[in-house]
Amino acid sequence: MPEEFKPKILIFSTNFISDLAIDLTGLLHRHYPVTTSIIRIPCSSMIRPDIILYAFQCGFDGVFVAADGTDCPFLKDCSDRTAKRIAEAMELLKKHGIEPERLKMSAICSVCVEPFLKHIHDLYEKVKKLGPIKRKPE
Amino acid sequence: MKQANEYDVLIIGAGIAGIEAALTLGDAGYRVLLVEKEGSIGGKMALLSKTFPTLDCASCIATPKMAAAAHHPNITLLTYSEVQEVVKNGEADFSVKILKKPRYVDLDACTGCGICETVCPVIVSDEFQYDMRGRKAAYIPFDIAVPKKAIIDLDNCILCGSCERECPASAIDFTQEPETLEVKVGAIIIATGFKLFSPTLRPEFGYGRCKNVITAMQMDRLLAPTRPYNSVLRPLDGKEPMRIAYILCVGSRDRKVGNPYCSQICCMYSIKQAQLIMGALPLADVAIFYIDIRAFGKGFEEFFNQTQAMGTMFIKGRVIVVEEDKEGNVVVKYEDMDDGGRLKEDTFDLVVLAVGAMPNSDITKVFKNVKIELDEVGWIKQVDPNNNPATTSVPGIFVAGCAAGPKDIPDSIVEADAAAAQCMAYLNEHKYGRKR
Amino acid sequence: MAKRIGVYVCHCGGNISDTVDVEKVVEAIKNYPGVVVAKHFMFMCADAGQKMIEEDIKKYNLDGVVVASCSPKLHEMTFRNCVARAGLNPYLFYHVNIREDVSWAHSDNPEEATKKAIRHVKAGIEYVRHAKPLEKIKVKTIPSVLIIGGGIAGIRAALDLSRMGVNVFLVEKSPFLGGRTAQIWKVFPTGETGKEIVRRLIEELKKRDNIAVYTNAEIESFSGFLGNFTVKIKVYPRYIVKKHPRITEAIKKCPIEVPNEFDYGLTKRKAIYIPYEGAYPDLPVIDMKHCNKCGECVKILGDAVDFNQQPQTITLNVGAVIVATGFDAYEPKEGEFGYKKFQNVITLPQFERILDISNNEEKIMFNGKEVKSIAFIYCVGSRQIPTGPEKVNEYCSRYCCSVTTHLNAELFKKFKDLTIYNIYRDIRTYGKYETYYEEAGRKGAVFIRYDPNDPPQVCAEGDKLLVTVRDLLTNREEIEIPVDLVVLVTGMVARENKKLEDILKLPIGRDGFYQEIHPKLRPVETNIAGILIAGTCQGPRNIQETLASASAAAAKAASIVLRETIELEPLVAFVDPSKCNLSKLCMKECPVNAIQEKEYEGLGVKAWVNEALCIGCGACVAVCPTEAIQLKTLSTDQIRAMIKAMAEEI
Ligand SMILES: Cc1cc2nc3c(=O)[nH]c(=O)nc-3n(C[C@H](O)[C@H](O)[C@H](O)COP(=O)(O)OP(=O)(O)OC[C@H]3O[C@@H](n4cnc5c(N)ncnc54)[C@H](O)[C@@H]3O)c2cc1C
Ligand SMILES: Cc1cc2nc3c(=O)[nH]c(=O)nc-3n(C[C@H](O)[C@H](O)[C@H](O)COP(=O)(O)OP(=O)(O)OC[C@H]3O[C@@H](n4cnc5c(N)ncnc54)[C@H](O)[C@@H]3O)c2cc1C
Ligand code: SF4
Ligand code: SF4
Ligand code: SF4
Ligand code: SF4
Repeated sequence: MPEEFKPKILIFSTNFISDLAIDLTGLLHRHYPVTTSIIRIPCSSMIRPDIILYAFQCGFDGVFVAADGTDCPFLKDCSDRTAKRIAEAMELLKKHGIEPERLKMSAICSVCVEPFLKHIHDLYEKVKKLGPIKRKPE
Repeated sequence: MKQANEYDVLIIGAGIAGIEAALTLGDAGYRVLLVEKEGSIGGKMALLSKTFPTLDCASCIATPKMAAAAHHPNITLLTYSEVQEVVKNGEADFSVKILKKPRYVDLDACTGCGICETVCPVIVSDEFQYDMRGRKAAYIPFDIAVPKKAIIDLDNCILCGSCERECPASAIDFTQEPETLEVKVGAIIIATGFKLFSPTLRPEFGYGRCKNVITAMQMDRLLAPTRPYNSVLRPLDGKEPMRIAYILCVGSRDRKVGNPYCSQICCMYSIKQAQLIMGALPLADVAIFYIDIRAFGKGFEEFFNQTQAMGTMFIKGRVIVVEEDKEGNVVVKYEDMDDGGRLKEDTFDLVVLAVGAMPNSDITKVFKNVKIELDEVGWIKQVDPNNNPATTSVPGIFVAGCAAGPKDIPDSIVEADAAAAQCMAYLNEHKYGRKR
Repeated sequence: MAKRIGVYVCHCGGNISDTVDVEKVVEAIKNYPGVVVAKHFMFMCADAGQKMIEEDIKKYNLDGVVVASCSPKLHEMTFRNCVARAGLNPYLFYHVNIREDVSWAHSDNPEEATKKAIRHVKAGIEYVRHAKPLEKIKVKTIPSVLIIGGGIAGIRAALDLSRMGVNVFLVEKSPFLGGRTAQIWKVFPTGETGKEIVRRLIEELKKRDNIAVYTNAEIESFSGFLGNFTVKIKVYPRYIVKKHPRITEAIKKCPIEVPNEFDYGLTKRKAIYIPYEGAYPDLPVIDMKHCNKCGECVKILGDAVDFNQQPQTITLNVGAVIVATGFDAYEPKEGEFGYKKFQNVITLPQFERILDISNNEEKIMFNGKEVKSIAFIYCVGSRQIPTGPEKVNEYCSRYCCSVTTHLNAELFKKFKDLTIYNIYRDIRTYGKYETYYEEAGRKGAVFIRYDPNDPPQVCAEGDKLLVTVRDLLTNREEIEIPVDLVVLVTGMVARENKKLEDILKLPIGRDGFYQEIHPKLRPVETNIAGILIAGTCQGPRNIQETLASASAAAAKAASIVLRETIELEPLVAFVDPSKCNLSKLCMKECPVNAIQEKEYEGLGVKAWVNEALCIGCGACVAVCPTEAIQLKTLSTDQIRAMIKAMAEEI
C-alpha cells in the first residue's frame, strides 16, 4: 500500500495579527496538520506572487496566507492588496500547471483560533484530494 | 527586575487607561511605576469580546499595548500589588508605600506553561470569567494575561504540593512573604477604573433569582474569543438561547440605588452584543428594552442604525419585573412607552442585564495628608473640567479613564493621555524646569 | 553571510522537550552550513541560558544566533538584548517558535513535531545566514510644535506643551483667538460663560514666553517628516500695528456697519472692530472687505493704523503638528422646520448669542417681544436618515442634548413663568449630564418624543408659531403647541477647510471630520506620523472632552519632541539602486509616499526610501519587477532561503 499523502503546507503569518492567533492555537493545545511550516512576515501585502510559486517549486503542496484583514496595523486596504497578490499568484500557478486551489488566503484576526483551524484543515483536505503536484520533469 | 526607589510618575491601576498613560509618559522619557492589584494588567478591556462601533477584537488590540507596557524600558510593572499609603511632602514629592502580595510563584522563573494549573486539584469559581467557569488554585489569570505567569491562590490551596512537584521551572515558592516597597514619586495618576453595578440590588430584574438572567459582562465573556464555552449558552441547561432580551439602564439613571448618572457605555455595548449574537446564533432574536438609546459617539449612530437594520428589536419600555417560568424561561413584564405605556409581557430564553458602571474610588483612602475629592456619586472629581479636566483636588495627582466617570475605551485613552500631559507639565514646573 | 552561527534549543522545562526531541533537533542541524555551535538547555530564557549564549558569542566569535523556544512575542526582546550585551548586532538574531507553533500544537504527534521543529530551526538559520547588521533609525527632532487653530483646543494644547518646556507656534486663521466657545452663554457644569472659559485660558497664555501666536494667519505649505517638518505660514495684515488708548473712540467713529458674524448677524459691527469685549489679542482689526479707507480712524489713531501693511510669509521648523481647527454649526436649509421662513425660528447657536447679549435683562426679548414659551426641536442636521444617494449627516452630534437640557435648567433659573417644550428623538445626556435632563424635567420642562419619519411641522399663527407633532409617548396623539420662539438644536458639522486639508493631506472620515488612525486606541493620531488632531475637528464633542483631547494631543506631541532623537526600529524598506529600473511601481504602491526619486552617484536617478516616513509594511516589495526594493529586516532572498530550508525532506 502506498504511503498516505500528507500535503506539505506553507503558512505565511503576520507579526502583529495572525501569528498571534496561531500562537494562541498552540497555547490552547489545539491541533492542526503537523506537516505545516510557518514564516512570519510584517504584513501580508508584501508577499510577491513569485515567492508563492517558488514555494510550490520547492516542494510545498499548499500555501496558506493568514492575512491581516481589517486589523492590519499598516494598511487600511490590506485585504484588497493581499487579495490582488493572491489573484496574481493564482494566475502564475495556472501558467505553471499548478491548481490555484492549493493557494488560500484568509484574514485571521489575532485571536481567530477557530477560523484558523477551519481554514488550515479545509486547505489540507482539499490539497490532499488534489494529490501531489504533477511537477513537470525539469 | 531591579526596582528603583524613585520614579517620575506612579500610575495606580493598569487598565487600558493606566497602560496608555504609562506608555505615553515612558515614550516621552519619564520613568513610570505602574501598579496593578490583579495578577495581570489590561483591566476590563482585556476581557471584552469585540469593541463598538468598529467591532475590533478587544483582546487583539489590547495585547500589543499590554506587551509594550511590559517591555518598555521606562516602565516598571508591579502586578498583584496595592498602594497602601501616599504622603505628599511637597510639590512633585510624594512618598508611597506599596504592598507586593505574594504570588507564591517566582516571576522570573515561571514560564507560563500552565502545568501547575493542570495538576492542581482545587477548582474554584473564575472571577475573570465572571464566575461562569472554574479555575484552579494555581492559575494564570487569563489566556492573554501580562505577565503570563501563574499565581497560587493560597485561600483555596490545599497545600497538596502537586504544583511544586510538577513545575518544570521550580518556580513555585510557598515561602514568599508579603513585601512592602517604599518609593518616591513626583506625580500620580489614578486610573483605577470602575466597578460593575451589583444587579441583586434591583431584585425585580431577577438576577440570582432566575437562572437565565445574566449580566452583560458575562455575555461579553460568552462572546469573547477567549470565551469559557465555545458558544453562547444559557446557564440553566446549556441550551443555545433563541430569544434574548436586554434590559438597559440597570443600576443607572436610578436615584433609588444612589446612581443618577447614565453609565454612558451600556447602550452601545448592548447594541454591539446584539450584533455579535446575530453572528454567533444566526437564528436568535434579540430585543432591547431601552429608555433612550444613547448612540452619541463617533460612528455610534451608524452602528445603531445598522443593528436595527439587521433585525434587533428596540422597544422603548420600562421593565417592571422579570420572572422565571416552569421551563426556566424568563418572562419580562414591561410598559411599552411607544404604545402609551401599555402593560405587556413577553418570554425569553435568556435575559441580559446592561449593568451600569459604578465608582471604584476606595484608593482615595490611602492618601494620608491630602484629600482627593469625589463627586456626588463617588467618582474622582475633576475639579477644573472646563479648563483642565485631568486635574483632581490635589495638585500633582491626576485622574484618567473610568476612575473619573464611566466612558468608553477611546475616551479613556484620551483622558489617559491628557493626564500624562498634565504630569509632564507639572513635573517640568516643579521638578525639572527644563527647556527643550 | 553569517558563517559562525550558534543555535540554542530550549526544553522549556518539558513544555517543548516532552513532545519535540530536542536532542534530535540539535543533531539534525549541528552540521548545517554556517552552524558552529548547537546546544539544548532546560530554560534558555533563564539567567543561566542567557549567560551561556553570551559566553558562546564571545568564545566562538559568533556572527549570528538562533534561539528556538517559545513565541517571539514573549522573548524576542529578551534574546535580542542578550546578544546585544555580548556585542553582537541584535538584528543578527532570529527567534524560532517551537513551543506554541510546534510542541503545543502537535503534542499528538511527537515524531512529526520534531521534524517540524527541525524545519523551523533550519529556516531560522537561513534567516540569520542572510541577515545584515542593522542600526535603529535615529531621527533628530526639532523641539517645537505647530498648532493650527486657536480655539480652546489649540490654546489648551499650547499651554500644556509650553509648560513642558516646548516651543509652540499657535496659528489662528481668524483675527482673534477663542473659537466658538466664546459664543456660548452658560457652560455646564460650571455655569460660567464661554467667554470666561476663554479668558482663563488666555490669561495663562499671556504668561507664557515660549508661545508665539499668529492670528489672521494660514498655512501655505508643508513638507518634511516626523520630528522635522517645515511649514510656511502667511500672516495677513491687521492694519492696526500697535495699541492706542483711544481705540474705542475710533471704532465708534467708523461709518461702516456690517453684520457681526460673531453674533450670527444679530448685532452689527464696524469695519474696524473687536468682536466682543475681552477678545484676544486686544487689538482691533480692519476688515478690508468693507473698509472704504475714509480715514476716520486714522484721524484718531494716527500711525497705529497702517493701510499699507502687507501679508508676511514666515517659515517655521517644527517636530510635530497639532490640528485643532474646530467645527461649524449646522446651518438649516431654508424652510427646514420653518427656518428663514419665520423670523422666530432660530438656531441654538443664535439663541446662545441672544441670551448672552441680553444677559442683564430680566426677560428674553426677541424682535421687541417678550418670549414666554420656547420649543426646542432636537437633532436638526444630525441623525439624518439617508433616503437617496445624497450624503446626509447620519451621526449624532453628541453635545446638543446635554447643552439643551442644561440650558433648560439655566433658563428656568433665570426667567420666571417660562414654558419650555423639548421635542426630541432620544435624550442623550450620557454620563453625568443625565442630571441636567433630570433637573429640566423636575423644573417643569415638557418632553415630547417625535418620530423622525413624521417630524414636527412649524407654521405661523398670528405672531406666534404653531408646532404640530405626534407624541410617541402618548400614543402618537397629534398635539399643537403654540410658542413664541422655536429653537432648532443644530448639530456640529465638519468645518470647511479644503485648502488646509490639501496642504497637509489630512485623512477625512465618512462623516467629514478628520480621521484618527485607530478609532479605539489612537484617537488623536493620524496616519501621518507627527500630525495629531485635537478637539472638534475630529468629531463632535463638548468643552471638557475637547480640552482632554487637546491635552492628549499635546502629550503625544511631547513624546515626539521631548527627546532629542527618536529611535525607530529599522523595520523599513531600502532600495538597491543597482537593481532599480525606476519602474516607479513601488511609489504607486506605498501608502505613505515614502519612496522618492534620488540621484545616486554613477547610477543616475533611482528610487529611494525615506526611512522617516516608511512604515515597513512591505507593500512595495511585492510589486517591484526587479526585486530592487526590500525590507531591511526580511529580504526576499531571506524568505526564499527559508522556504527552501523548510521544504527539504527530513
Ligand atoms: C460589558 C462591557 C462591555 C464593554 N464594551 C466596550 C466596547 O465594546 N467598546 C468600548 O469602547 N468600551 C467598552 N466597555 C467600556 C470599557 O470596558 C472601559 O472603557 C475601559 O475598560 C476603561 O478602562 P479603565 O482603564 O479606565 O478601567 P478598568 O478597565 O476598570 O481598569 C482599571 C484597572 O485598575 C485596577 N485597579 C483598580 N483598583 C486598583 C487599586 N486600588 N490598585 C491597583 N490597581 C487597581 C483594576 O484591577 C484594573 O486593572 C465595556 C464595558 C463593559 C462593562
Ligand atoms: C450652541 C452651542 C453651545 C454649546 N454649549 C456648550 C456647553 O454648554 N458646554 C460644553 O461643554 N460645550 C458646549 N458646546 C461645544 C463647544 O462649543 C465646543 O466643544 C468647543 O467650542 C470646541 O472647541 P474647538 O477648539 O475644538 O473648536 P472651535 O471653537 O471651532 O475653534 C477652532 C479654531 O480654529 C480656527 N481655524 C479653523 N480653521 C483654521 C485654519 N485652516 N487655520 C487656522 N485656524 C483655523 C478657527 O478660526 C477657530 O478659532 C456648545 C456648542 C454650540 C454650537
Ligand atoms: S499546592 Fe495548592 S495551588 Fe499547588 S496544586 Fe496543590 S492545591 Fe493547587
Ligand atoms: S448608556 Fe444607555 S443603558 Fe447605559 S445608563 Fe445610559 S441610557 Fe442607560
Ligand atoms: S446629542 Fe441629542 S440632539 Fe444632538 S444629535 Fe444627538 S440625539 Fe440629537
Ligand atoms: S515598506 Fe511600505 S511604507 Fe515603506 S516604502 Fe514600502 S510601501 Fe512604503
